Amino acid sequence: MTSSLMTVDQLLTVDRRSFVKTAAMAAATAMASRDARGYALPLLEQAPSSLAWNKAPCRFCGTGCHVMVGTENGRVVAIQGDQKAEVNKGLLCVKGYHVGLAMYGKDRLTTPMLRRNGAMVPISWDEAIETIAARIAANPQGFSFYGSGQWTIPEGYAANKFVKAGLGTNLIDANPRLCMSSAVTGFLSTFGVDEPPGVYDDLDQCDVAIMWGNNMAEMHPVLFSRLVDRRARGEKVTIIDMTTRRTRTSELADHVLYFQPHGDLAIANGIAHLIIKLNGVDSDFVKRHCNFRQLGAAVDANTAPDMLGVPMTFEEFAKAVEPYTPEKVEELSGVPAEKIRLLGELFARRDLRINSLWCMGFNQHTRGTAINCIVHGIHLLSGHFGKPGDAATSLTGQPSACGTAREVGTLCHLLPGGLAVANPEHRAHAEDHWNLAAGSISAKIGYHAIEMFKRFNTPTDQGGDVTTIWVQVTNPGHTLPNLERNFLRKKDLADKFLIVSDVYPTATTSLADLILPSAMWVEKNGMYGNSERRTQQWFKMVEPPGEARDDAWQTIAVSKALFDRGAGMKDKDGTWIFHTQGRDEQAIPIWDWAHYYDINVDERLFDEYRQFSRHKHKDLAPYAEYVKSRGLRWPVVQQPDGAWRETRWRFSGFDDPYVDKGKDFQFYHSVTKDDKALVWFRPHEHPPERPDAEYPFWLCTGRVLEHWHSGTMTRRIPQLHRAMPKAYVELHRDDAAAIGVLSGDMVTVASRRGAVDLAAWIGGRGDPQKGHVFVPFFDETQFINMVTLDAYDPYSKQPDYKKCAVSVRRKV
Amino acid sequence: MAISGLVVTLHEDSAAADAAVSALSDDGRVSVGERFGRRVAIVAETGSVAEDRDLWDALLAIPGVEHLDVAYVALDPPTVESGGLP
Repeated sequence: MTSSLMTVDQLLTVDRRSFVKTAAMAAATAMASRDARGYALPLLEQAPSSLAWNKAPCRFCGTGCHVMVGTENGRVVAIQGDQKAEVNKGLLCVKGYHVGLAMYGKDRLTTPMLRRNGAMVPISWDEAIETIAARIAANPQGFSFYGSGQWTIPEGYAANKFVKAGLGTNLIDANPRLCMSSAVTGFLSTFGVDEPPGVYDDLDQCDVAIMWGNNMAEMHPVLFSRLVDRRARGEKVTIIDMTTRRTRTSELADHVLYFQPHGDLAIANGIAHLIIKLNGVDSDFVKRHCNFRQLGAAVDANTAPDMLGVPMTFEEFAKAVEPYTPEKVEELSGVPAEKIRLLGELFARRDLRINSLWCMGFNQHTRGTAINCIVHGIHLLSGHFGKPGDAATSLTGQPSACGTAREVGTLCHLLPGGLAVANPEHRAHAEDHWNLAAGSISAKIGYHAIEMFKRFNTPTDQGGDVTTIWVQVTNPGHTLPNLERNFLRKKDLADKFLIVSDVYPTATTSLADLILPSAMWVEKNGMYGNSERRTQQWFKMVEPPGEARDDAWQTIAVSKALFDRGAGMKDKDGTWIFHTQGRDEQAIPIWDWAHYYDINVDERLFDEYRQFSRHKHKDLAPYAEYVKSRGLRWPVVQQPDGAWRETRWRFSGFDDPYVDKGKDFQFYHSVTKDDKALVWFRPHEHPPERPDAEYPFWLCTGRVLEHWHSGTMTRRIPQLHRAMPKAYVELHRDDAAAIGVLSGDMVTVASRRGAVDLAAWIGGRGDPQKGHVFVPFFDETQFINMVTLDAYDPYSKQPDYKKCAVSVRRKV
Repeated sequence: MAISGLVVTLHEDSAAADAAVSALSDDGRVSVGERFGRRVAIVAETGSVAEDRDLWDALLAIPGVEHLDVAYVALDPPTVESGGLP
């Protein structure tokens, strides 16, 4: 590094350094002064410079910060927070301001490679495309697509259409299954339609922010800074951190409530109990806008009750939560009764605005649907809903888990626009949009992620009917739980074929049979959708390295090869499903890379996709509107003057254009078809695996500030890698003393499924409770997912990475 | 970060905040810009990756510094030292 920085010194002339320092100070001053009335600095992109500046959303998490990307001589050379962006108002986190470097690791994949005789050998793109087409054509029912919340919206739409319109199966799923599908089932169960009613503006107007198992200060730091900023301005914002370990969020919280795993269910039911006891029920709101539900009886011991549930009265609901007294909740959760009373008293107050926030703590949970439902329920019950600052907000971990997986519907049970495979009317809508013959779209739901990989890792003659998987923009060889069962068995199954499109070698490419080099981020056009329903757009700014190409092009090229073979991929008129023509009505061969950028394929795909968005009132504007903006939050509805207006608070009469005039609230996709939301009773239950004598510790896994997900990008950024080079295990000091371990000692963390060796960290950045350990999952040299449990929520099918039983022993 | 523009949020206690600004001014790696109430703009310039991390930690450890945000960073190509996983 020293030598390379000398090169920096050599390259940076004094004039250039002065310019850069001036630019850095200008940006920082503008940010520092943003609340200083009348103070304004020229935006950096307007300053004279040889750099070209363009907007893009950050490549990493689901916050959706916009960055200004400075390019020079075909490379990204500078990043600044986008001062025009409402999401981040010019700020970035430590990952965000290094995002440009993520493209420049020197081991970028630059050519297709096929496994031959055990070794990966370079092949041409033509051979790669033909290889995939031949494999799929031979057994389309054995093919599954596995995608990502990092797919751009057009990429996801192309893949979804490829499978559901082109092949006539629903054998596609995506990694949001592992990170947020319980939020989806929570919204569907409560409101009848997915995604948060509220927005980030709630952070600016709440009196109380409750972090439900959510380390927002480190995982969504730019959003957390909104709360810190308000305090800096002298506003009172009470932050409550409910957690199983002390984090940076805890340090800035007014109240820290340590709870035991699954205790969140008891806490939320305890709040419901107290809302009723303290006369905190917003009776008028509840009477006019809510119904009550509970689960019905299970058909048998192996099948969960129907997700629609059965009706119950308010009185029956009150009786159901009656046992959740503060003392009982303390027994179940470990949170002192007086703290439960504090929460109940806050919710019972009508003069406060309360914003609940959660992320993986709720979603990666075998009772994820239940806890999502209960928290929506306590907000509805107490009337803390639908007013600025009063909201229940799920945050996401990927930049387009909402935009691509949830909205485009790249999951095995969904169609674009929130339509459902299981609904015949919805299939008919999709067939109409795609010009398919009636009945073309299969009514059979495909395999969710865990089931897909279980079948891929099972011998074909033993029920393993998934024989080919194409993975794009994700790393299941690192992120699936119980990796030995769900990923590594493939290496002994000769007839299975794994295709991986990615930008760097990963744990997944290590077992791939065919690797395709992909363009990333601003090497291609793109669109993302963030956690607050905001759809964002950017243009390609630099060329990808070598022969790396866009993921959407890869999908389209294989589709064309299948069409040419007569293996599907056509509409009812026999036309190729991705047929594209110019204004002169001449066909444009977008399957040919040389012509892919002859038109804006993203624009064509998006404007086709957005026709789906109106069925569930998730209206999207034309592509051109997103070019002009820093994102728009749906539903985006055209006004009489032709302008496109975004919506901040859904279901609220003062803002949502789909609420009937004169109504204060209207849940217009109500499960019960009466414009009412559902308040669910879901009991506390114990998790499927708990510590015992052999495995006496609770294991929780998660992220760290410096790294994003499996670290394939951030571990290639020297600054971030050096700051956090290896995974570790956090131990409580009493537990460490009991097993004779000091910070830095190597220990073995083992479960019934596998083991991993890690350095112990005691009293470090995070500090777990006694009897708990925490391990971050970013490090591909130490796979904690060899240890994790693959039990999942029965409704969302999302696995639980936050709790299983492990042993910790000093490594000899 | 070779050169970066940062926003420091200071503690609500004005004496602690003033002391923090003074400490920032004493750090040779930092240029202190204008202060707007509890927020102050700074530019940080470091000579190595290790210094870069040290500086981040050092800034957060200054009494009176409550929060740190980033507004700008220069990413000159030679700062990409390796690529690839170690």
